[in-house]
Amino acid sequence: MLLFGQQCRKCGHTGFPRQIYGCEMCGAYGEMLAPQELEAVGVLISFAEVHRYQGGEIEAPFVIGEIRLQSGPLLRCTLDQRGESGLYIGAEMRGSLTAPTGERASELRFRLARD
Amino acid sequence: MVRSLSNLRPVYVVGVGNHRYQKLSDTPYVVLGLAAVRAALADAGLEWSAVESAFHANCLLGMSPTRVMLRHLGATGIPMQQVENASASGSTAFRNAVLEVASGISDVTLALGVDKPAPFTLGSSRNGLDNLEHDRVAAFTHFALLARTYGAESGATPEDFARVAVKNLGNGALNPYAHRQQARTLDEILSAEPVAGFLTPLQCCPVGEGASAVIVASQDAIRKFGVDPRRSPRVISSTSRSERVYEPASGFDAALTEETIDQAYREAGIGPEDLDIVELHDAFTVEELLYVERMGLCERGGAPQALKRGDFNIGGRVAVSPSGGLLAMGHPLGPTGLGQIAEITRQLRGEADRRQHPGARTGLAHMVGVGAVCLVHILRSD
Repeated sequence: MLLFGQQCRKCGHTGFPRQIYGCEMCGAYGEMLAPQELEAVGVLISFAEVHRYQGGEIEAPFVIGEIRLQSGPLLRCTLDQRGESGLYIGAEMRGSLTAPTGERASELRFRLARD
Repeated sequence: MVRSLSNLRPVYVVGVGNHRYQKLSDTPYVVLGLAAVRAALADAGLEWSAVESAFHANCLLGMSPTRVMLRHLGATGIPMQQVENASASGSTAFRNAVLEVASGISDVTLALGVDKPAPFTLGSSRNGLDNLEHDRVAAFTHFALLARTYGAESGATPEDFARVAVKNLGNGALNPYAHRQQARTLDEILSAEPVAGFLTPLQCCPVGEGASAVIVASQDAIRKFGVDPRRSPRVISSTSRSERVYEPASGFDAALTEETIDQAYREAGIGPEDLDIVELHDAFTVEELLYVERMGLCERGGAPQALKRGDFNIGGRVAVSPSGGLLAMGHPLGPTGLGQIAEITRQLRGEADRRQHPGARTGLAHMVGVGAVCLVHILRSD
């Protein structure tokens, strides 16, 4: 599974999600931001089960994880599991497309790499 | 040449006023705002005609609500403008008012915060970029994630986080302007179902309606209008910064706070040991533990123990959020940063009633705003 990000040709900063507005580290923009495909693997920095959600996309409770990709960027994403069981800071995580039961479409979620 | 506040003419807080923070009601925002302004004018002993400009902090009232409200004080034709900077709107209005007087453009300026809850959209949702969060990371989830990492680094337990709410809700119970005026036990705070992670509802600030007003003035105005200088603390630092790229990228709120605080200390020529009062952005309990460490009020990782020892109580080493903070006084957005200035002013005057911290001479107000921005002000009574 690959994520669409970019690397700045001027300062080397890797960013996600992909954009050409400008590098948030040095300000280079446009063609100075080279498209880069980032492996959807990383380390769990933090996690929290959410019990209250006012949006209409999914049903609470669900778990949000904060993941540092091996390539550097930090992202937040819904995790492909119920509850916080088995999660720990530093756990290896991997992203994949999942089609959760009862939900409209498949989406990218991360899960423990060992599962 | 770049100047800081210390290079400009002195600015003093001469009047403060509030309308209680409360749940959304039928009270028009005009009524909330006029109550706070009239209280601040009476507190300073000034007529509206003395005020030379007005900055109005709000996030949710819609376009151009300011003159529609302030016209009821009389037609003086002064410049008026709205200020929006998320949670830091009130702090930003205060900074604008302070800098206007410091620069010599005005002698007497009003900073007013009035807001009422309403549906809103964050600008970031319209930035044209997709992300993997969608709309699923509310503010309480952001801080639940931070609480998890802080707990892992410091050993802080759910009880340690909840103790922040015990202290601040206890302070709020002594504050007639506070949204929440009921003291709570550790068990009451911890027994409810969490909203996210281990943050329970009483560890999250209430967002309601209300108003706070602060009038700042020059020495010339203090003399001209016969304002009592002993009740007029000086603003010795005004600092405003925005988020950079931090490594590691987690916990930008604390890193941004540390940068801004350091700049404020340098500008004021003081250190953390000089602070008697701190009003900080405790929208969620974890924030107080994070920020007191970054402010140098205790060692890194030492906040839970310092809190347990009573270091941050009224009457302790430094009173942190004697108003009740965002957790108890509340967080109506526009007024919040100005409510902090009002509380610090009352504390430095010795007029904080049952919340009075003995010997208070120097106070610091800290706010962060989504986006992210951070503002810090330091006041001192001579």
